[in-house]
Amino acid sequence: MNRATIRPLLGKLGGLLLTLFLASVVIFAALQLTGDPIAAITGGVRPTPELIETIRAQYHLDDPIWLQYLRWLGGIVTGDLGTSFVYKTPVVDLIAPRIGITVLLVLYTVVLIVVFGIGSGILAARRGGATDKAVLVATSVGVALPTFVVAILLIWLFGRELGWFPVYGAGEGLLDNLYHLTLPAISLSVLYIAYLSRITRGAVVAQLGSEHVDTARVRGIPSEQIFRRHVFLNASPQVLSISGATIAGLFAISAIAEVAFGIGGLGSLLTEAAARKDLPVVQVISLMLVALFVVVNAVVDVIIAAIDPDSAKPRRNA
Amino acid sequence: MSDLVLELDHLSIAAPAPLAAPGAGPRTIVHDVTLQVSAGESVGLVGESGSGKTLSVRSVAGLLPAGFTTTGAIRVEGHDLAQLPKAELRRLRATRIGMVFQTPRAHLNPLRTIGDFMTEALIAVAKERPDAARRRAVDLLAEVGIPDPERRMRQRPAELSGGLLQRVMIAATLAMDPPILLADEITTALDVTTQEEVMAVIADLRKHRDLTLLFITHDLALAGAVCDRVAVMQHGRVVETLNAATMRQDATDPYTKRLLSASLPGEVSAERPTDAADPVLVVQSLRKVFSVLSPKGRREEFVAVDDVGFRLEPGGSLGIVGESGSGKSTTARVICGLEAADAGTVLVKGEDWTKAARGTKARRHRARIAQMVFQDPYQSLDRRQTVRECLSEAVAVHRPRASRVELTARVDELLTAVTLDLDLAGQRPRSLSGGQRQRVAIARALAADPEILVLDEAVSALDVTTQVEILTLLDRIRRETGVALLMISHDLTTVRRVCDQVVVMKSGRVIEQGPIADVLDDPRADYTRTLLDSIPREGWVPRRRIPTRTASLPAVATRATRIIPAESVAPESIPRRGEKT
Repeated sequence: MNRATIRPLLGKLGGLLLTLFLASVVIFAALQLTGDPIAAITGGVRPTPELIETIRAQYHLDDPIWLQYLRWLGGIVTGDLGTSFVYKTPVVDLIAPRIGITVLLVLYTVVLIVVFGIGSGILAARRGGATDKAVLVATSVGVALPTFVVAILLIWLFGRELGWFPVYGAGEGLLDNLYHLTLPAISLSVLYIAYLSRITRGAVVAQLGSEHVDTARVRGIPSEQIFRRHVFLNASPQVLSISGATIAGLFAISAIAEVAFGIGGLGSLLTEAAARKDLPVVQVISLMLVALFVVVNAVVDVIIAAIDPDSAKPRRNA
Repeated sequence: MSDLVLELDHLSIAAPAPLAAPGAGPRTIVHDVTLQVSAGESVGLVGESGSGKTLSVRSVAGLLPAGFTTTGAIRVEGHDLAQLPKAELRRLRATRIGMVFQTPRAHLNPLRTIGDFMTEALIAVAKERPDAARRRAVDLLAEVGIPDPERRMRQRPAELSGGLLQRVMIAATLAMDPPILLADEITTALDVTTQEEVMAVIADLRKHRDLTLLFITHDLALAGAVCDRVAVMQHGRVVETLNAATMRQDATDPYTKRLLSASLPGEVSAERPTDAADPVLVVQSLRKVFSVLSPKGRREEFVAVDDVGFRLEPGGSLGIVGESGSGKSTTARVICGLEAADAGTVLVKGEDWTKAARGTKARRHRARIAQMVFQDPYQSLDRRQTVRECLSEAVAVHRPRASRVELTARVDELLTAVTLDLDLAGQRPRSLSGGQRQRVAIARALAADPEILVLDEAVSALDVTTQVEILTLLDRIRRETGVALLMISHDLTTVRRVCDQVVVMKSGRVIEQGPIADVLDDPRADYTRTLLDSIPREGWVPRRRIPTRTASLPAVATRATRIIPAESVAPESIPRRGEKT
C-alpha cells in the first residue's frame, strides 16, 4: 500500500461520511414536513391541551428544528435511536428482532440474482444462437414484470395451485426460514436477474470480440482459461458495479415482498411506520437504507479498483 | 527455394452476405491468392487498407471474423490447415506460428501484468513450471531490448509506451519459439524512430533464430528494406511479387509503380521569397505545464512545451515535426485556444491569442482566422450528418444570413475545392473512404475562409497513396487561396512535400528550425539526423539505439533523457537559419 492507493481510499471514506451527513439532514427535514406528530403520538385519541403540553415537552417538540436535529443525530451516534411514537418502545427494540429476517431475505435474493443473472448472461453470450434468443425473450419479459405482479403470480401458482411453498410468514429456524422466503426472494429477484443478465451478456460479448482476446486465441490458450482470465475478468467491473447498486437497493424494495408475503421484517415495519407517521422509526430505517447503499457501493468500488487500478485514478487531461 | 513452411494456395476469402440483403450471397474479398514462403525467408505483403492483406494473414492465424469462409488451401509446414483435427490445429498454431499485431495496446489485456502475459502461454500450452516460465520471460524481455525487465514484469500495459509494448508482444510471441512470425502492420502505430528500433529487433531475431517472416504493411519502402521478397496486393488480388532488392527496377504493374512513387521522398517544395509582409502567426517562448500524478501518487509537473518560438508567413507553410511526447500537438492546441499557455505569447495578425477566447463572438472571430483539421477523420465527423449538412453548418456559422441558395453554392464550391465529387454530398461519413472523409474535414475547415489552417497529423491515418493525394491537394489550396499551413506531423516525408519551413521538436523543446531544404538536407542537430535516418528507404538497415524513452507517457522530461543536454539548447544556441544575425 503506497500513497497512490491509500489516498483514493481516504477520499472515498470522507465522501462516504459526507453523503451520510447530508442524507441525515434531508431525511430529518423531509419528515418535518409531514406535519404535527401529536396525532401519531396520541394514537387518534382527542388529547386535552394539558396532555399536548406534556407530550410537546417530553418529545422536545418546542425546541428549534436545528436543536431537535442535533439531539436526534447525537442520539444516533451514541446508540440511542429514539422512542417510537406509536409503540412507545425504543426504536432499537422494534428493529432488532426484524432485521435478521430482512437480511436473510436480501441475501437469498442476491444469491438468486448473481447465480441466475450472471449465469444466464454468460450462457447467452457464449452459446449465441437459439440460447441467446431464448435468454433475450425471457429477460425482456423479466424486466417488464413489476415485483408485486410476480408475487401475486407466484402465490397463485406455487402456493394455491401446486402447494409447494408457504405463502405467508417467515417460519421458525434457518431451514424453515429459507423455505418460507423462497417465493419472496424469487419475486424480488426476477426483475434484477433479467437486468443483470442483459448487462453481463453485453459486457461479455464486448470482451469476446476484443483484440486482446484474439491474441490469447492465437497463442493457443485453452478457451476456458481465456474466458476466466481475459473475458470474465475484464467484464467484471461493469457487472460488479451494476450488482452493487442492485444489492444496495434491495433493502429498500424488500418491503414489497415482505408485505405481499406477510413477513415481519424491516420492510414491513417501515411501511407500517410510514403509514402511522411513526417518525422516529421511519427516520432510523431510512438512514440505515442510505448507509447500506453507500457502504455497499463503496465496497464494490474498492473491489473494482483492485481489479482495474486505472478506474480509481482521475482522468488525465493531456 | 526448398522447405516451404508457409503456403497460401489459391486462397479466396468470402464475407457473409450482409444482414440487410441475405439474398445477395457471400461476397468474395480475397481472390485466388498464392504465396509461398520458405524457411528463413522474409516476405512482405503490401497493399492499402481494404486490399485483403490483413484478412489473408488472419486466415492463417485462425482469426477470421465469424461467418467468413475460405476456399483454396493454407499449408503450414506441409499440413493443410483445413484437414487438421481441431486440437491439432490449435496446437500447431500455438507452437509453430507467432503473430504480432498493429496496436499492441489493444492486443494486451489491460488488467493483467506484463509478467502474466509473458508466461501465460508457456504455462498453459507448453506446461512449463511457473518459476521456469518467469525466468524465461525475463530473458526474452531482455532479448528484445527492454530495460529493467524484472520491473516490467510487474507492470500493466498502461504503464508502458507503445514501442515497449510492441517489444513485449514480440517477446511473448517468441516464448513458444515459433518458426513462423506473422507481423501485421506492427510498426504503423509507432514513431519513425521507434519503428526503426522495433525493426532492428526483428532483424536481430531473424539472424539468431532462423525466423520465417510474413510482414504485412502498407509501406512499400519499409517492406522493401526488411524483406527478401514483396507481394503487392490490390482489391484482394496479388498484382505482382517482386524481389525486394531490385523492386524499383523490376516493377511492371502500374499500381506497384504508384506505390513506389508515393513512398519516394517528395520534391522539396520550391522556397518562396519571404517578402516583408508581417507574419500571420508569431509564437514566442511558449510554455505549457501539465500537472500529473507520479507513480508514487505525488503531484508532479510535466513540461509539455518549453520555450518554443517560431513564425508563420501569410500563405506560408510551416511543419512542426517530432515524436509523440515532443509537445508538437500541445503547441498546436495552444495556438488554436484549446489549451491555455502558462507563459509566452501567441500573436495572430498582431492580436494577442495567448489566452483562450471567451464568449461566442470572440471564438467565432478567431475561428474565422484559424481552423484545425484533426488526425482521425473517422471520429472528427458526425456520423449522422451528410456531407452537405456538415458543410452547410460550417458555412452558416460564419454567414448566418446566407440564403439556402447561397449555402448550396458555397458548399458546392468547397466540395470542388477539395476535389470531391458533388454526388457524394448526400452521403454520410460511413460510406466514405478515409481519404474522402479527410477531404470533407478539410472542406469544413475552409468554409470559414481561414487565414491559417492547422493540420494535426492530418494524413497519418491514411494510406500512402491517399496521403500523397491529400498533401498535393493542400499544397494546391494554399497556392490558390493563400491560406497559411501549420502542419503537425511525426513524419518528415509528409512535411517535406508541403512545407517550406520546419521546426523539429523533442521533449517540448525546439531542437532545430529553418527552411526545409536546409534542415532536411544538412541537419545540424543530431536528433534531426536520427529522425532522417530512421525513414525506411532503399538499402536501409534499421539500427538499435539505446532506448531514449522507457517510461510510459507522459514521461517527465529529465536532462538525462534528452539527446541534446538541456544546457546546449538554450534559446540563443538553437540553430535558426534563414535569419539575419
